[in-house]
Amino acid sequence: MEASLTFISPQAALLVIGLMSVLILGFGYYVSKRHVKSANDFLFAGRNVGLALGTATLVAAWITGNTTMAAPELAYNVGLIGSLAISTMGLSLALFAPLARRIKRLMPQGYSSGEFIRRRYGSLAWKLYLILAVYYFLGFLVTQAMAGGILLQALSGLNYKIGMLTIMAVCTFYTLKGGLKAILATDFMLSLMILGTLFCVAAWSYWHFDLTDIYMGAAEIRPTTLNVLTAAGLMFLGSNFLFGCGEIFHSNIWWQRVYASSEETAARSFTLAGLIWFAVPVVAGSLAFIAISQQYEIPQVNMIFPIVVSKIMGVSGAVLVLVIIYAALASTVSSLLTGAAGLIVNDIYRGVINPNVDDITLQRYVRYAIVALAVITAAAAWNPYDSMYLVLLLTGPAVASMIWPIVFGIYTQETNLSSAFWAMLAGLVTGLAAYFWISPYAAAIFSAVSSGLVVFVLTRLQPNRHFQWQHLSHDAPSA
Amino acid sequence: MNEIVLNFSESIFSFVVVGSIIGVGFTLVFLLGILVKEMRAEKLW
Repeated sequence: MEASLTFISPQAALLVIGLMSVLILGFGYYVSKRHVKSANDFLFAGRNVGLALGTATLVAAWITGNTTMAAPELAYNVGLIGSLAISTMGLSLALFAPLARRIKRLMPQGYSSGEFIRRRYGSLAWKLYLILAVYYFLGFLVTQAMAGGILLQALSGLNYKIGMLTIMAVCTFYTLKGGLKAILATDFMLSLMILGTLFCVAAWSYWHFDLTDIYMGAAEIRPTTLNVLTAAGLMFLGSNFLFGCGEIFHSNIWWQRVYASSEETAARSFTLAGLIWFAVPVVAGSLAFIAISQQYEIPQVNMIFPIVVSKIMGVSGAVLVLVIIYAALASTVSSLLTGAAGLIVNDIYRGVINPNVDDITLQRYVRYAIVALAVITAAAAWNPYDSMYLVLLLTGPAVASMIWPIVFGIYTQETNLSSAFWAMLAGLVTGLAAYFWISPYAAAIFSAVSSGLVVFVLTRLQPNRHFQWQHLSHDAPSA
Repeated sequence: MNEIVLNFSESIFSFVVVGSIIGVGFTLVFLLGILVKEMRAEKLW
């Protein structure tokens, strides 16, 4: 890492990280002591979470380290349309709202996204779903752990392994202690921290400049950044939106939050969180226009966010960037750990090995799974590799292939029983082909279109007339 | 092939940037507001 690009000393970075870790662990411990009384609290946060915590946890979990770092990079390279393309992932969150309401109605005692696939489409589709979902979880976890180490090293020169291990250790400890309830409460604190700090940084930065000067400067120096119709921007727009839909619709992180919410807040929290999230990449991305108009030297384009903030606010700006990045990573990693552990234990242990397991035993196995996942993630992320973003993009064909089987399964009673398996397979194959032969950004589009066609055609040709919505109920036998 | 150019006007650019910053600030107040309201009504969870 280039020494000239560090914004804060390693000692100061360690102090900030240490203070934040103490705050997160302390708050998580307080919540677990005060509010976690049963296994139901640990696994499903009591299944009656209100609007405030329900919304904040969605915002915090969906803001990753990438949200604040990639938006200014895309705004700088592609233009305002680039950061708006990232914002469409907030729309994916809002689009899940009606599905969340229906899931909560159909499966009020549900425990995982995999359970829905198994009851709706049978064991063959469920096995393929599990493979794709676990692959996505591991890819996402490893890239977030690596992003933590890389970003902390880039910002402060702090050793990569120390940064990566600190994030993994802190998230694992407070997740183990209080489960989903502690995560939801801590996510509220972290979302306030992210939004508050981002607001201060952006408002302070724009306070120092005239908006007309910034616009005119960008129009003169990099006119393409103001073009609505850039080919790259439009491609990002479609690809990111579908990728976001795939990630949210299929993943147990979000289903777990649906089951945790009360029936009246499940849909509202997704709508609100989507709208709130939409503004975040635009605010972060807007800082790139200050860099363009003021002609800042940008030696590394993926570091625009800390460069601009440090230029304007000095060391205090670098500290605030660190707070945003650390809070974003901690909330996402803890959500991934609990979402993945919940899926694996509920689906494989409760779903196949021991259907009559009690919640206390389940809670113990979830804890084991969290530790195992954290160890596997840290081991896989031990040495960072250049193709980190490639790993995440490679999950695109997998997640986009699951959009339509889930939407059809939730809304259309006659959806063909075997269509989900063939749709996921077709989406995966065409998505991967598009990834390697056309462009990584075309993968999600090809995957979603082909999988949607398969579900639609098979359902038209051979509708399932035997399925009843009651089959999704917790006490009903699987399909 | 030439790219079609349709630029964001200055007023739309300003609206998007300033609106988003104000939106993030408003969100903070809004989230804290519903938190207090639900805590008082004992509907937090």
